[in-house]
Amino acid sequence: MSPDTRLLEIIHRSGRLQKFILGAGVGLFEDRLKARLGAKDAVAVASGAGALAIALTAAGIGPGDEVIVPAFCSAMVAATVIHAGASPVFVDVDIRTMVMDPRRIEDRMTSRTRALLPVHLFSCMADMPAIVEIAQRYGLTVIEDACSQLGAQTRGISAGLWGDIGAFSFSRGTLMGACGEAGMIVTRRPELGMRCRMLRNHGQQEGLRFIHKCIGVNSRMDEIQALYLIQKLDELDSILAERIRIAESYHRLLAPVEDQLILPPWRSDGRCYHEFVLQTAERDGLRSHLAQRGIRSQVHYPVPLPHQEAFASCLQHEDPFENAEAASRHHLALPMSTGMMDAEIKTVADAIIEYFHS
Amino acid sequence: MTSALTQAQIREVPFFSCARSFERQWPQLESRLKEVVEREKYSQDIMVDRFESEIRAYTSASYAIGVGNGTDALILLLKAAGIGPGDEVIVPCFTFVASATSIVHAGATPVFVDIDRATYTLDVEQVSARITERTRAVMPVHLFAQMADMAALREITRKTDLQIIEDSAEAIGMRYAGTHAGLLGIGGVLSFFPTKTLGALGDAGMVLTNNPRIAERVIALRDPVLDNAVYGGSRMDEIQAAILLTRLAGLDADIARRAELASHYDARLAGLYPQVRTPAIVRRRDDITAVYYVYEIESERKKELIPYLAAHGVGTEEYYPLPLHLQTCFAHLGYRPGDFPNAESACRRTLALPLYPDMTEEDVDYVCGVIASFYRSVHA
Ligand SMILES: Cc1ncc(COP(=O)(O)O)c(C=O)c1O
Repeated sequence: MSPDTRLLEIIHRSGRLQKFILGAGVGLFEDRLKARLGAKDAVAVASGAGALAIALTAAGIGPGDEVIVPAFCSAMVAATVIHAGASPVFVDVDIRTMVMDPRRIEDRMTSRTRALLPVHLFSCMADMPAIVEIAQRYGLTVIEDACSQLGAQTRGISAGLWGDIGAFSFSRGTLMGACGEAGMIVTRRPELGMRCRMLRNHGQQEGLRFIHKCIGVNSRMDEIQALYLIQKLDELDSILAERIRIAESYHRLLAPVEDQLILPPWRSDGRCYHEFVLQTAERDGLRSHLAQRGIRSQVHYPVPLPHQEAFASCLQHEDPFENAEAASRHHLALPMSTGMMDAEIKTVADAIIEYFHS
Repeated sequence: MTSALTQAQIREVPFFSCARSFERQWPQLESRLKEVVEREKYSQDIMVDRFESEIRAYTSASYAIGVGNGTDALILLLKAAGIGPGDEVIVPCFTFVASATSIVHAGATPVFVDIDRATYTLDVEQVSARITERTRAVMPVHLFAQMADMAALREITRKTDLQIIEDSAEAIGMRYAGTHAGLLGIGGVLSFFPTKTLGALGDAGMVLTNNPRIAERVIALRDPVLDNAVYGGSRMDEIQAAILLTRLAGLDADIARRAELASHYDARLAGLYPQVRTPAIVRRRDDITAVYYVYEIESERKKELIPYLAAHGVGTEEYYPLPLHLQTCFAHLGYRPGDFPNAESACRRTLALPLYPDMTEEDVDYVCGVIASFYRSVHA
């Protein structure tokens, strides 16, 4: 039975037992995820953006602080930093992996820098060993946006747990999409977990109703989401394996045009194929070529964050953000879905090869 | 204090349950949920659209905008109304914390005001004294069963050019001179927290407004794709919208049932006056529609009464044990005990008894019987 058929049972049970929000199901899901990832605490919240916002506040990021953020990622990341009262400081990304380039970080540091916020993107974790090393050297906090990268590991350590605190999303488009909005915060530091537990539920200490220790928010996971996600968690390994299968096929099939593309570097460590995203200078041409053949590809972030009007006031320097600009112009996400047939993958690859050979 | 009842006489009356009506509504709900599952769209899609349109019809609001919960609805509404850093918003200190934290999240400062002792809503007479040159808005909170004195408040805000932003999270069905709560100022909110008069099976909320500019801003703010500079957004789940749509059809019957049960409580508890004070609906010069969302009583001995009721199977809630001006989270605002005597005295005495459509008259009789036996035992 698919999880979506079981969903009706879950909802029916939730209604019959009158279990609504942050109940036993949420506790169980938190425990399962904590055990699977090796976290000290896992705190279930209402969305991935909520997870990141609470993580920032729990880590003490606030007015006057600067947070280093990649120039190429979702605008939500920088907006969340601003929402916390801090300023995002943009840093360029790596040309191949499109994630934060640790070699650029030190140039961007000032006396106000408090945290590094790497974002794991598409199929690549940021270079966490290097980022954590810099953070330790300068006494900075590391907050990981692992929203789309549940299941990724580098050297056996999960995304979200290299730094001080990390955020996951279970929005529908992620590998483990919920049946509504949901997110999770993970941490190796129990005291940060405790703070998140208060912050997600109006600053109340657990078990103490209507006594508010700090200014919190309402960002809580519904029981329905937790019970649904517990079932999905059992399928995560097969979903991840499935993604690797599809990515491997793309790599193999696209070999003939490899020198006309930038493909995500192929290795298993630090990889999680949420999306298969290539880069080409002929992105727009390729995209319409694919569209003519009925193949849907996607452009996720057409404009680097520093060049968006919303963040114009955050710019302190005239850096060109070359790689972020290139990534914005060149990236293209290929179709990738669980259960995708070899023939479908081949159709996509053939169309790409055809484009470059004609 | 020994129990006056034997174990066999104990009856479980939880503070809230809609299990029975949920079973009754299941067939209808199931077909809506199947539609959601088939579409595989789980947040803010056709069910939310339909629910928004039904709420517009129910409240006569021009705009009803679904979001993740009532707290987010308040934050988005305040931001849409242009409330921000440097601004002050006057808000009662006896309410759920979100009334005031939402003001903080918008970047502004809550300025507390005491409540009217009879209705638990803000004391309009004290509002003027709190107005400074930074005051931008007043947030009345319609608590438990009735709305604040909106006519009196409007007189003040008209004179001083302040906005009214209503925390009508608890107020579905409440009306003031025919206008639904949330629509007497620039806008209001609804919370569909499960125990609310119209409750979901998880968190959900909504902004109500007649103002097209406010609506446009809220719609942009709830959707991060539309407004990059805003963190996160806030969306309602399709599943919750399906549940709410199903329940909305029976809302007026539910409200009528709540009123019946409340008057049953009134009659059964009358004999315990003055030890137990039952809620009073205050009639105003304008016609008002009250809705018994919460049946709030007062007792000098609530700290003993609550565990006594619990030991006899009766759930209660303490709305609220501590006024906002004395909460640690607002310590930086510098208020002191004694600043708002009405709210402080309410916090010492108020508790909410179970009240929901699935209850029976026998449940009410039982709860009142336990309260009577509590008073017999303390007087013995
Ligand atoms: C007066 C009041 N304001 C705001 C809220 C916040 O609503 P929600 O719990 O949906 O975030 C509630 C309900 O909890 C409330 O009763």
